[in-house]
Amino acid sequence: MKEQDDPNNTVSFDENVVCPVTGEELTLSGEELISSSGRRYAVADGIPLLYVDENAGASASKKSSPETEVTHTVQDFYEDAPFPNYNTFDSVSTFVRQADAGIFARLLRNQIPLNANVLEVGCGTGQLSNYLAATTVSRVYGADMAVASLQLGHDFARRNGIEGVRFVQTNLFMPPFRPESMDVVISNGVLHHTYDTKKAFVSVSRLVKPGGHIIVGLYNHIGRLRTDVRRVLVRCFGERVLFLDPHLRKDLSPEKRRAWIRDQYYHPQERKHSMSEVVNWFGETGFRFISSIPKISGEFDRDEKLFEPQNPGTHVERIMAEVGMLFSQYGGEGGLFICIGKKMG
Amino acid sequence: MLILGISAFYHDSAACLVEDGRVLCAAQEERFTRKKHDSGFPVNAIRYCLEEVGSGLEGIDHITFYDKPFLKFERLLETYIAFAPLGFRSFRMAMPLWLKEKLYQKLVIRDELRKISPGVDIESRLLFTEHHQSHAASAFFASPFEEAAILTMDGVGEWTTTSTGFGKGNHLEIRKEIRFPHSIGLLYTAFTYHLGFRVNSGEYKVMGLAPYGEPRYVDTITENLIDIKPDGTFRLNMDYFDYCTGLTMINERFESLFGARARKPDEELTQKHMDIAASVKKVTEKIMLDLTRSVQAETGARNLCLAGGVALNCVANGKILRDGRFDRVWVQPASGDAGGAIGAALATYYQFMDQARNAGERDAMSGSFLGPAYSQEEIERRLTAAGARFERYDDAAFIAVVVEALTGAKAVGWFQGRMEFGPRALGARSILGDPRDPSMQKTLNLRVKYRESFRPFAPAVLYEDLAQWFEMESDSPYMLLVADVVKDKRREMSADEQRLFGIDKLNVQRSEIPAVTHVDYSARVQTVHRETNARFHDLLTAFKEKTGCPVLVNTSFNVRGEPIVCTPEDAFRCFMGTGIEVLAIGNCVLHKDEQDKRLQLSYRESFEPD
Repeated sequence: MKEQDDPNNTVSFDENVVCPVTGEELTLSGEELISSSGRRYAVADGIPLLYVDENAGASASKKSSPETEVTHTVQDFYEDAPFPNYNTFDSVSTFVRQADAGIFARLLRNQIPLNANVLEVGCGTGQLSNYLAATTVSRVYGADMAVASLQLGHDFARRNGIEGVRFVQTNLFMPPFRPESMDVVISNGVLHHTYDTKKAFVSVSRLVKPGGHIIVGLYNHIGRLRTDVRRVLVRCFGERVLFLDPHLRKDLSPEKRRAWIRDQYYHPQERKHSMSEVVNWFGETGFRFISSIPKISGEFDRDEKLFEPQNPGTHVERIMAEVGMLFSQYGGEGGLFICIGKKMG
Repeated sequence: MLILGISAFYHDSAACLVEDGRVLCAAQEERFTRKKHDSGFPVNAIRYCLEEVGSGLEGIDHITFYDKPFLKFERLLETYIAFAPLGFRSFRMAMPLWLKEKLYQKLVIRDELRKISPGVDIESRLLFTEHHQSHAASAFFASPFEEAAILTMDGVGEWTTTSTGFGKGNHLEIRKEIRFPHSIGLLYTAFTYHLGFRVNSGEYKVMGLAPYGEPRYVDTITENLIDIKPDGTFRLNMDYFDYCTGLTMINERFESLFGARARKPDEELTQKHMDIAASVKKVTEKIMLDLTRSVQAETGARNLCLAGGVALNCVANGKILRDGRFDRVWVQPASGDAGGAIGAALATYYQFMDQARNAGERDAMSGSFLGPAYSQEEIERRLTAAGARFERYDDAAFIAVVVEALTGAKAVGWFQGRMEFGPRALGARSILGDPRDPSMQKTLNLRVKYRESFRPFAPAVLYEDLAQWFEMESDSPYMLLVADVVKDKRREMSADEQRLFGIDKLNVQRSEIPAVTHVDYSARVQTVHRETNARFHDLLTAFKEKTGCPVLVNTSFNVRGEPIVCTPEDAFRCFMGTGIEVLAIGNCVLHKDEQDKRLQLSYRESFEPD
C-alpha cells in the first residue's frame, strides 16, 4: 500500500501551511488535513480547502455578518468566472514567453531571491504563481478563495510538470499560513475587492518575514478615473462602448476577454486607494517603503530594481505620479498601482 | 604596470587586466548580467577586475578601449552601400593610430568609468586601439611564440573581416586585409540563416551539422557565391546576399541556387541541410588552408597565430596543423570581441609602451582560467542561503565521489576554481559525463542542455595520454583543434549501419568513447594539463584508474540560450532546472534526489532557444 493511502500513516503536510483558526501545524491523513486539536480540512484534487469564515472560531450557530456577506458575494462572482483564466496555451514555454512580455512578471522572475517562500494572495487562476514556480528557485504558494480558479492553476501546473507550487483555498482574513514565514508576499489587484482593504493588508502583512517584502497592487482613485468613466458609459449605452478600453483592443481569447470585462465593469465590490494611504499603512505595520510602479520620481527602467530602496517622495509628488497614471497605460488599463515595502526588524 | 582592457558596445563586452604583459584576470559581462552576448558597458567585469587587484581605477596606469569603428550594423551597412565600389583593398600599411579621437564613445566611456571610481582622472589614462590591431595583438602577443605569422578571421559586422600579418618580439604588422562585406563570417551567417538557425549565435550549429552530410554543393558555392584566389583571398558575389534590408541574409537567387527556401527554425532537418552544412564547411576550410599557405610563403614563419570568430572552426585548425606548413599553431581562445579586450591591453603594453617581450614556454592566458573563483567557505555560505542540501568532503574523498557518479552514468555539474574566459568551458564551469556510455550524447543534449540531439560533445583528455587515444601530438588546452580517435579505439560500422543517413548515424557507436566521437571519427579535443587545472587533472587521473579511460565528456555549464554559469547560485539554479544529477562545487557534492523538490524550476522554458 502506498503511504498516502494509509489513513493511519500521517505525515507533516507543509511547514508553512497551518490551521487557519488555531495556527497549529497540519498533518496529512489520507485526503484530509488535521490540526493538532483535531480540526479537519478536506483536500480536493490536490487543493487544501482551508477557507474558513471569519466567525468560524466563534459559536457555529452565529449568523453570518455583513462582512462575511461581502466575502461570499465576491467569492461567488469568481467561482462563476475564474479570472484571468488561461488561453489555450500549448506548453509552459509559450506560457512563460507570454508572461515574460509583461514587465512586472519578468522583473519579479529575475529578482526574487533563491530559496524564497513566495505567497501570492488572490492568485486567481494562478498565472503568476505558476510562472514564478517554473522560472525561479523558490517555493510558491498560490492562495485564493475561489476553488474553481485554483483548480485551473493546479491542473496547469500538474499537466506541465511545474514543481514547487501549491494552491491553497484561503480566506485572506484568516490566512492558513504561518506568520512571518514568507520572503515575498504578492497581492496584485485583490485587497480592494474585500470589505476592508486596510484590514486585508494588515492580515496578509503578518505573513511576511522580517526582512521580507510585500508587493501590493491596488486601484488608484485618480488612475482609475478612465475606467470609471467607461463603466458609466457601459451602464448608459451598453457594451458597445467597450471599444474604448485599450486592453480589449489586444489579441485576447473570448474567455479572457469576457473575464476582463466582468472583472473591470461588473465587479460587485471594489474600492480605490492612494499611494499615500499605502505608504502610511507601511509605516503603521513596520514596513519601509522600497519602490513603486509607477515610480514616484524618475523614469521606469526595463531593468528596474524592484527591491532596491527608492525615494518615497512627498505627498504632493505621489499625487503627481497618480495624475501621471491617467495619461499612461496604467490609466488606460484599470489604474492599478503597485507599492513594494520591506518588513523591518 | 597595470593596463585595463575594455571591449564594449557591439557584441560580448568584456574587461581584462594585464600586468607586465601577463593577463591577470578577464571576464565577459554576460556572465554577470546573465544576458547572453551582453554588449553593454562592462561595469561588472571591470569591477571584478579591480577587485582582483584590490584597487580602484586610480591604481591603473592605462585604460585601453578596444575600438569598434561602428556601433551598429545598420550604420555599417549604410557605409557599405556608400563605399561598395571601393571594395577590396588588398594592402594597407599597419599604422598605429593611437589616441584617435572618438568623441561620442569617449564621453560615454569616461562617464561610465567615473561612476566606478569617482574623482579619478580618466582622460589622461584612456587610450583607443584600432580594432583589427587588437585582434592581431590578441593572437600574437598572448601566444608562446617569439615570431609568428598571424591570421585573423572575424564574423559578421566587422570592417576588416580577414587579415594576415607577421609578428616578431614586441612588434606586429598587418600585411593584407579583406574588408567588409567580403567575409567568411558573413558567408557562414548566410548559411546559418538558410539552414534555419539564429543568425549571430547559431553559426556553430552549422559546424555541428556538417559531419552528418556530404559536401555536394562545394562547386555550387565556389562557382556562384564566392570567388577564391590562389592565395586564399576571396570576394563574395553580392548578387546573392541580401542583408541591406536587415531582415534576411539571403535573397531569392540564393534560395533558387540550392533549390530550397530557407528552413524555418521548427522545421525538420533533412539530409539536404546537412549536405549544405558540410559544403560550406569544406569551402571555409579550403580558404583557411589557402590563406595560411600563402602567409607562410610570404613571411617564412614557422609558427602561426589565429584569432577571430572563424578561428573557432576547430576542424580547419586541425587541418592547418596537419598540413605541415607550420610547426606550431596557437589559437587565441577568446576569439571575437571579448578577446579584443585582451588584444587592446597587450598592444598597449608592447607597442604603445614599447616594452620588451619574451615569449615564454606557455602562452599568456593561464589556460584561460582568468575569471572569478570562490573559496570553500564562500561556496558553503552561498549554497546554504540558496537552500541547497550538500555534503562536504576532503580532497581525495571528493574526487572519489565524483568518479563514482560519473561511472554511474550521471551527468555531473563541475564548478571549480576560476571561471574560463572565452566561449568554451574548460573544466572550471563544465558539465561532465562518461564518454564510454553510448547514450550519453543524447542524454546530455536532450535532458541537460535542452537542445538538438545531434549537437556534438568534446572530450577532455589527460595530456599525458593524448597519443593513446587521439591522432594528435600537439597540445590543445583550449579545445580548438580537431583530431581523429586512434584506430585501435575505433569501432567499424557494419554494412547495415553504413547505409544509414544523417542523424540516424548519430546513434551508431563509433569508438570506445562514442559520446565524443563524430561520425567521421573526429573529436574536438581538449588536453588537460596539471599546470593549469590541477583539480580537473586529478579527476581525470582517478577516472582513468577506475575505468582505464583518461577521457571525459566536457560541455559548458549552461543550457541553450544562457551564458555559462559564474557564481555558485547560477550553478545551483542550473542544477535545479536541468537533468544534471550531481553538482560538484568546491569540495561540496549535491545530489539532485536529495534537494528540496519545491525549489525545482522548469529551466527548459527559462531561456530563449538559440
